[in-house]
Amino acid sequence: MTCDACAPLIDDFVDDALPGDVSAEVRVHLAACAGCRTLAADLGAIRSLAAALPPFVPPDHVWQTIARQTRSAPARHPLAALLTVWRPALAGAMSVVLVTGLAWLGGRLTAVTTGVPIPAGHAATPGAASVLHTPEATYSQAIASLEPLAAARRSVLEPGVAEAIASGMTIVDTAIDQSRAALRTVPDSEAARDSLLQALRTKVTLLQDALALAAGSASGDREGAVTGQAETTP
Amino acid sequence: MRGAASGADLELARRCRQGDAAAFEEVYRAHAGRLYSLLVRMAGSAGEAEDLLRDVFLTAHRKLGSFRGESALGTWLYRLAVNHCLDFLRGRRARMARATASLDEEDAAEPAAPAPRLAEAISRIDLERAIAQLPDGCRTVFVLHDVEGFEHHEIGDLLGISEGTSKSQVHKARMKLRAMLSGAVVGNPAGRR
Repeated sequence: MTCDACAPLIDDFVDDALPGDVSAEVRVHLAACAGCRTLAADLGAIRSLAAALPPFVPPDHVWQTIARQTRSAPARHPLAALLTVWRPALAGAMSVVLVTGLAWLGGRLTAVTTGVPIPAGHAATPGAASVLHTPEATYSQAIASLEPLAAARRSVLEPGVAEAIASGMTIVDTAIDQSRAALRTVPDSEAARDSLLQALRTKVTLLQDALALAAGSASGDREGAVTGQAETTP
Repeated sequence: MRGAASGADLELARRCRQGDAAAFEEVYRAHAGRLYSLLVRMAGSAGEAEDLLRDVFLTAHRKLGSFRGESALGTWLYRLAVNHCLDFLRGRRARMARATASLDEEDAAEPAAPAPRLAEAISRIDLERAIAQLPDGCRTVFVLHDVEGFEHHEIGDLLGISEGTSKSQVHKARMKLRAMLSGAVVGNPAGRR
């Protein structure tokens, strides 16, 4: 083995990372070559000393600062954060189900007690349907674009979070269905109209939050995988 | 530290997510020392390392919700620390480049010819000072490999470089340290940062 052949192997030799037969060849060369032997000894000394360097101890004030700042902003599980934001919206959606259910029932009872059928699609207030159409169409369009995105990103969410989102969606979808059913029966019901718009608005918010959580989970994964690159000096 | 998270790691992360301050302090006490050592040597300054350590743990506190246990908690924290430090070093290089654009920067540790021998007695302080004078890139890889004990393939994963690049950076760092510690250095012994 020549010095030119040995030189690129010396670091791996020092690290004990060479295959046995190659290591043996290097060892034979080092025994005969003072220059390479000195280099190997020096690099080995640097490696050993570096491995034995003692740790540094962070000063106490670092933890005190961290503790103070984290106490004022406690760690949140995505599910906890999600429920805190959604609890009022889900409560609202549940009340929508109740209100529209009562409005529908009231409409049915009115038809029964007066004997006057309320024609389906009849709008006592002219233009009510058209007033509803624009915001409902806007929300429906937003939902149509957000739903497939949220479905595609569902797999990156923790199972507990995904289940909570699915449960929330079920509640809101029930509220939407109930509101629409009430409007079909009593088209001029302002309560049903307001409830439908509220439920649609809630669904858009839930879908946006689900996507934000999915993006947060994905960026958490990216944080866990390194994004930086060491400079490779020439 | 390598490999998937242990049950203890997962339990600790769960408690942290629920706002258990004692659990988060436990995470800090278990890992801060090693992370701080890494940051001091990578950044080359204890003061900057303190700020970086604080930022790493504040980020960890915020992102513990996304910790899934695919790696050990210590490895997850290490990656946060390396990323933070690399961002810091890139920013510092950019600031230095703007400040010194008109100056010629020379490598302060030019080896004398013929190749110098390592001084007989090298103290840990001598080595720490020499490490601090290494260029950012090879200093990062040298600290991870020779000081912290990471394998080249692990460094490749951490830094997004090949094993070959990691090996060449370690070799470069060792040769520069050998020159700086030989006692036959030509140039400014205080070195360039």
